[in-house]
Amino acid sequence: MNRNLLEQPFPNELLRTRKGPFGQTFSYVEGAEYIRRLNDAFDGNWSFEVVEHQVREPEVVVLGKLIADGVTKMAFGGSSITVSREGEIVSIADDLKAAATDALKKAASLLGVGLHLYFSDRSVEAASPGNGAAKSNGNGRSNGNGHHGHKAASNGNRLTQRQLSAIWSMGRSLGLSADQIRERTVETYGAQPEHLSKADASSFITELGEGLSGAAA
Amino acid sequence: MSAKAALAILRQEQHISVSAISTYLRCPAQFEHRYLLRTQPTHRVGALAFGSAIHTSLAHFYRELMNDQPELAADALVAMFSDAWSRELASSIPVLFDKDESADSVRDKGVALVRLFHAEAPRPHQVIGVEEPFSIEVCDPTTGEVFDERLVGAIDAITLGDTGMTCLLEHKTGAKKRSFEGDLQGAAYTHVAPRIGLGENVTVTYQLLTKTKTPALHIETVSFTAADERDFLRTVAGVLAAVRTGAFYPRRDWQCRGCPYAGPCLAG
Repeated sequence: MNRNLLEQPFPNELLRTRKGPFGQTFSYVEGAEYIRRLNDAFDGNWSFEVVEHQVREPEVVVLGKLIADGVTKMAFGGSSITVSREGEIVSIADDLKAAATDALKKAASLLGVGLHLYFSDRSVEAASPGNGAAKSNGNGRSNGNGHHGHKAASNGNRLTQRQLSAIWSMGRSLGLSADQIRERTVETYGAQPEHLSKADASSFITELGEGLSGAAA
Repeated sequence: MSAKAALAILRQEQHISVSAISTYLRCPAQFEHRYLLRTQPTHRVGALAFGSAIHTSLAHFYRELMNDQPELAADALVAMFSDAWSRELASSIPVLFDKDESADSVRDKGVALVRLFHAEAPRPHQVIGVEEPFSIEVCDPTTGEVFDERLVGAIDAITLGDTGMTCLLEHKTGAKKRSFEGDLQGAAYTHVAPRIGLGENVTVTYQLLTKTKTPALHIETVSFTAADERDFLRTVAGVLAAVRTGAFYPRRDWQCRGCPYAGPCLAG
């Protein structure tokens, strides 16, 4: 087992932060990076299985089993059940997928992958400069970034409120409904308007502007 | 992506809602249980479940208009309400009724109210949004500090009048008529409107269905001013500051009797 590779801290550029309730910050690395690390360390010869899952409102819990190089590690993972304002469940399947990713990450940490995120303050500070309140839970569980496949720009890179207002305003001027505007940004940029990066927002605004110019012509 | 799914995603990130602010103002301890501790409620208040079923059926009514479909017939609206009410009752959290109410009596009241709504509610010139989600940045009006929490919510319906004036529709249910002058939600949505491309000149129309002996529909249109918006933002700033200091004291009054968190709250 290549422990050096497994335990190598994730580079800072892969660290994401998410905000917890009322001022707390958590650092995490996305699930895909754990998979990449396991693939690199075991040359793809590893497996992960959800042994058991339970839907226990308000969260779903899965028990995952990771087998690599003859070693088995098991861990629980969880995710909050996503509900609409009316209290209706949006997609248990997506919540279970998030919980399975959480379990995989936790199981991989038992092999040393991303272990530093669970204990080290150093990497957290590197990920959140100037934020002494940052904490690391290593898994980014229940985060709004990447949940349900929607990527959100990190805070420093997130679009401005002025850009967001321009998107809504220009989109509506083109006769698009809010749903249609959302569909377009999700389709093109993989994120809702509120989660676009500055660059993507700028590009979308340009596109909308061209549409308006075309309409005027 | 449906508006419902979009709202659920927007709610995944750190946010505050008008409902959360109102909850804090009503009772900080209830806010703590509901939004921070996520204490399992013992029940759902009957009036809230009822309001939710009414909202669902009226949203369907306006959505058909928005999609240029033929207007829902009164019977179809009643069926929509009955279905929504049944779903409320089937929720894993039981609905608690007032002593003089039952699931059936409330259903009957709801049926009468949606029929009344169908007969009396003015039809908008054009519907451009239904249960439209939003997430905007909010800042302290005094210091200019941008809050970490975004303001997230959904507007019941957005309509255009024949003069092109934008109107935000809010549906309310209640035991009796009340005025919406100075309403926190209206001030909030007026602040939101230009930030989601709806322009500066919007009015908020409240369609209040009252469960009085003779069911009634009360319609009130309110224009909120810049001062109202500022007051709303000051309220947000105050509530967030109080939350950060951990001020979660209980406010004991008659509402404690029906509070879904009364058990753990009273136990201290």
